[in-house]
Amino acid sequence: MATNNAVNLNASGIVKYDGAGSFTAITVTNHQPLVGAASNGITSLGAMTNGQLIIGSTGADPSLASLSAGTGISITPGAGTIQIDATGGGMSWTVETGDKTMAINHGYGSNKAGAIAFTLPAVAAVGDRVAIAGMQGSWNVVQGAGQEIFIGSAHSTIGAGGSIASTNAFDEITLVCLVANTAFYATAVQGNITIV
Amino acid sequence: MATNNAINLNASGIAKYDGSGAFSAVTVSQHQPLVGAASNGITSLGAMTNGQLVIGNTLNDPSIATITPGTGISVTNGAGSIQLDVTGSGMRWTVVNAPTNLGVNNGYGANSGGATAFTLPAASAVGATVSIVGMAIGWTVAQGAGQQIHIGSSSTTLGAGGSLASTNAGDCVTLVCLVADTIWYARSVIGNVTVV
Repeated sequence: MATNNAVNLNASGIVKYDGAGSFTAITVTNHQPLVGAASNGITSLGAMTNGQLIIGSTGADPSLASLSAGTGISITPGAGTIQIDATGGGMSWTVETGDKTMAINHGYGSNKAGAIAFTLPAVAAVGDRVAIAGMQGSWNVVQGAGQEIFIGSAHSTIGAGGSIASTNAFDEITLVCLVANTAFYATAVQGNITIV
Repeated sequence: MATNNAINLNASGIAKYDGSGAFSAVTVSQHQPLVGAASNGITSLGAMTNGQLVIGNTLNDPSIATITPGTGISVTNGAGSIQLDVTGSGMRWTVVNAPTNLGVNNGYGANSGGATAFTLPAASAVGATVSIVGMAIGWTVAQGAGQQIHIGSSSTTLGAGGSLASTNAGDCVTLVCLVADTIWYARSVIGNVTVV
């Protein structure tokens, strides 16, 4: 049965009926995306800037946000566009001047007149990689309990007693983890690496 | 000119007029994105969970879905956020212990009791990369018709008669395709690889 014939609105907006006799005018904002609101209402999410997306947020209104660039990714937002590129050969790179515990999927420039000690990541999944490129001085890679490094037909001593080291300033190595957390295999080597 | 002033709604919702005398109340759901529906209606797309996006679906309502991580990509969804990371330097790594057809942009740990037999991908674009690291006895790479591998100053025999083989357990090779489907070049090699 009809409950109301009198709209009685005095403002501009989307007409909403509350089911109990009252109409209201819902205002919306130019260019802003809309979502449902409580009691069959409509709400504007806010102004979007270049490259933003509407991203779900469980149990709440979606958020307007840009994609976050993680390891080896760059993101270039534009007006109605998003460009995603791989960077650094799929790794993030930093230049180090002191001892460092390596992070997975990260490359390091070793830039100290003396030696820099790089420690293998304690936690690594199959396929995770690390790389070191010498810039001056030398570098060595320190292992933790149960860890081992394989380079061609040679391998380091298993555990904390094992290590590898560069012999020249510009030596380079890239390692991939093939047994989670423990075994790292060389996929590229530059120079004569000392294996202990 | 007005054709109807009797709204006659008896339920809560957004008022919609059908152009021929009848109003109806369109219900919408809180937090859910809205799109147009048939006959000037409005419909809610559904509840969004963390990291979901509204993704176009030709001639249909947009879909609510998360980004699918492809080879060498990980996606971390949060409340109103999405982070993209490259993993394995853009390659997917697996450890295998049986003959395997190499997948483009995949890396393999060769871990068979005997030499692990790999076969070049039949289809590959310029820039496609494969990598093999020996973990146990060694590995071989077989070619198909018209395929060939170049390593420094050496080249395999063109076609199915050509091949590569490791000589030590930890030997490694990374190949990049530079003529689609057929010709591969070594980017890095560890060990003395046998070229046939």
